[in-house]
Amino acid sequence: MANSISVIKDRCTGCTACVKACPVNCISMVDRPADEGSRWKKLAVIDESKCVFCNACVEVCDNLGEKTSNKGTFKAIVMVKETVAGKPEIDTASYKGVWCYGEVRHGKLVSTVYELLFLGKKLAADLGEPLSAVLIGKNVADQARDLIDHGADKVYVLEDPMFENFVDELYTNALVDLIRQEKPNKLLLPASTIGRSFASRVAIKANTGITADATELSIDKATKLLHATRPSFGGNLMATILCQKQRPEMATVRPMSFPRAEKQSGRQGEVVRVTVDASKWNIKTKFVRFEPEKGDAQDIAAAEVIVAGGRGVGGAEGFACIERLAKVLGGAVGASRAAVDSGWITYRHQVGLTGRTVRPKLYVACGISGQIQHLAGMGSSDVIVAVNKDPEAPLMKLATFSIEGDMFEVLPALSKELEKRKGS
Amino acid sequence: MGIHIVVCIKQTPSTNNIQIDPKTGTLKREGMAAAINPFDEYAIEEAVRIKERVPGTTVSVITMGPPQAEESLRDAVARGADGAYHLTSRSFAGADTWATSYTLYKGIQKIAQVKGKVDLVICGKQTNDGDTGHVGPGVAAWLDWPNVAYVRKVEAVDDQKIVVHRMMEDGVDVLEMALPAVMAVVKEINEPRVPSLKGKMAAKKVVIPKWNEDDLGCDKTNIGLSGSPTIVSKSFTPPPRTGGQRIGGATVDEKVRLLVDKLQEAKLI
Repeated sequence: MANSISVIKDRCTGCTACVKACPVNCISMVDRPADEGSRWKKLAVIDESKCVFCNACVEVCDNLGEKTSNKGTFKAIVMVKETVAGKPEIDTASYKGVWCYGEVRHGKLVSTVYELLFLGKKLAADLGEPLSAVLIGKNVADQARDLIDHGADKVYVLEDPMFENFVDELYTNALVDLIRQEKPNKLLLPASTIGRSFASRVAIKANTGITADATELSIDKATKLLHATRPSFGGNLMATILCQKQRPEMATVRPMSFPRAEKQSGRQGEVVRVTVDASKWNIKTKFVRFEPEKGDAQDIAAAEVIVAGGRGVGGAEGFACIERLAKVLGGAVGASRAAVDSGWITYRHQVGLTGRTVRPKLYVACGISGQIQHLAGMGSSDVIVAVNKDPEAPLMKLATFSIEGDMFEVLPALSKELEKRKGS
Repeated sequence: MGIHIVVCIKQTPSTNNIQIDPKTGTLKREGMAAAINPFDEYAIEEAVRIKERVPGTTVSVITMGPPQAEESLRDAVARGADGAYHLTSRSFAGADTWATSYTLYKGIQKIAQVKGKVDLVICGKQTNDGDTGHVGPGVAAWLDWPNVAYVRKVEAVDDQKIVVHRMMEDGVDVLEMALPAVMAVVKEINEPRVPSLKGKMAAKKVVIPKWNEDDLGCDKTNIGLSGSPTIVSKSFTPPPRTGGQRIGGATVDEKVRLLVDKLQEAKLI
């Protein structure tokens, strides 16, 4: 028997609460036929083929049913879940501790690990379990001390010349072998290119569930489960994901979602050197070379300040004043799809649905109207400043601060003012 | 000698159609048209380009989804794919990325049975509704094939290997994978062409096999909602960003001074 879900016509008031609750957009409101004689005009219809049977609509409707005095209404959705013999149960209690993956790039720790340690420390405290970090790389043992100073109780070091560069298969095998051996309870990775590349592969090999790109994470007091909340649909919908029966519960965490752990020099901690046995791995990927990005331009993913340009920039040369302001603010240069598609700037700068997602403390949008596709990539920035000639542009209304004006006048003036105050 | 490429696609709500409800500031979910996930268009195009580079190559396209997802498979054929396969069953519904990767893996194995050995699987880097980017690497994990995600360029490809450029935060990694292999591509890799007339004709005629869990020989504890390690426990619309402050002022310099004051107050500079 497959899962099924249906609406009891007589109980549905057409209130649309279920439509709003549905994470997959499978409920719509249709007009009831005039001859039906119902006092309600609308009826909820559920597209069963899209339904993920998450129970959200049932809960909402049942709650309304509890509150209403008209007992003939609400509690209108009936869901029957298939009872399939589930996966073999594992002994979840034997999995202990919170792990943070410390990304290393060209011999250096990437700052995302400090954000993971900040978060991991809180989760570990709520669980009453230790916090560990994992380092995979060529010469990484020296970094272990730094991770202990930032809150790790234990650091696993997987050091080998073959780990010099990130290769999905290699890193997956290394991490999965360690998971099987050490059995962590929760595992956090950065939602960076590397983290997002191999975390899913790790989850499948380790036979467990993973949440992508989480921005809020907590431990449930009663169940000790990880509640990982993530934006989907370009940030227009938040979903809280649980992995109830498999371990470790995994999540990649969006950069800039948490502050960095503070350094406490001289903390006590243990460094565990892990012996790696690669004899059974059969790696079929070869790292050829690295081509660094030209210039000293900061990447947008981990930038605290981004100055971005859109259609209003008008051409490649127009980005000069954006670059200058970015430099004064110590930030990175972003762009809208319109600017990238026009060939004014390269794709790696593109913020938005078909580009990259960023979460800086300050996002300065210049000549960007603020289509929903762009908002999807930067809507969670702490403070947004919009500069646009058109006061009616959507972003001008959403921005924390907006200035109506020509960006080619405003930006140079802004750079100058900032330099002046820096100097004084 | 040509290779056999399978492109994994998903039908998702069309991004061109996303609208915000002006009253509530939230996503309007009614009446969104469905289309091929935008990143998958680049995956299809790259497969067709490899077909042009490596004579004798065949491009198959696969999706897991409800009956109406067949439209997206026909669209893929119109864009140059040679054949299309539809994994569809009520039992697949509610799958997370773990169960979806498993089902696609079983589908790719089935395509290999009926159409011949598969050498390369191409996915888009992520979908525009789920945004996880997990399914491409997940399929690679099930197949136990090498995988590179965030591919922005195919430097070389033949029937033995593929050399790809991966977009990193600090530059580009160049990697070589022995075939069979999996890659997930970003938008920068190409510019998808519009369907040709010939393609549209082929799309009309193509016979699309529909396979369910029994056709694929799935382990039923690995599919759909019950086979998914993760569940959505709740979902909600985030509070809309409320409009802020219009910085007034008679001159540009005055506006700028006021803005910098605000930014200083907020300790941003």
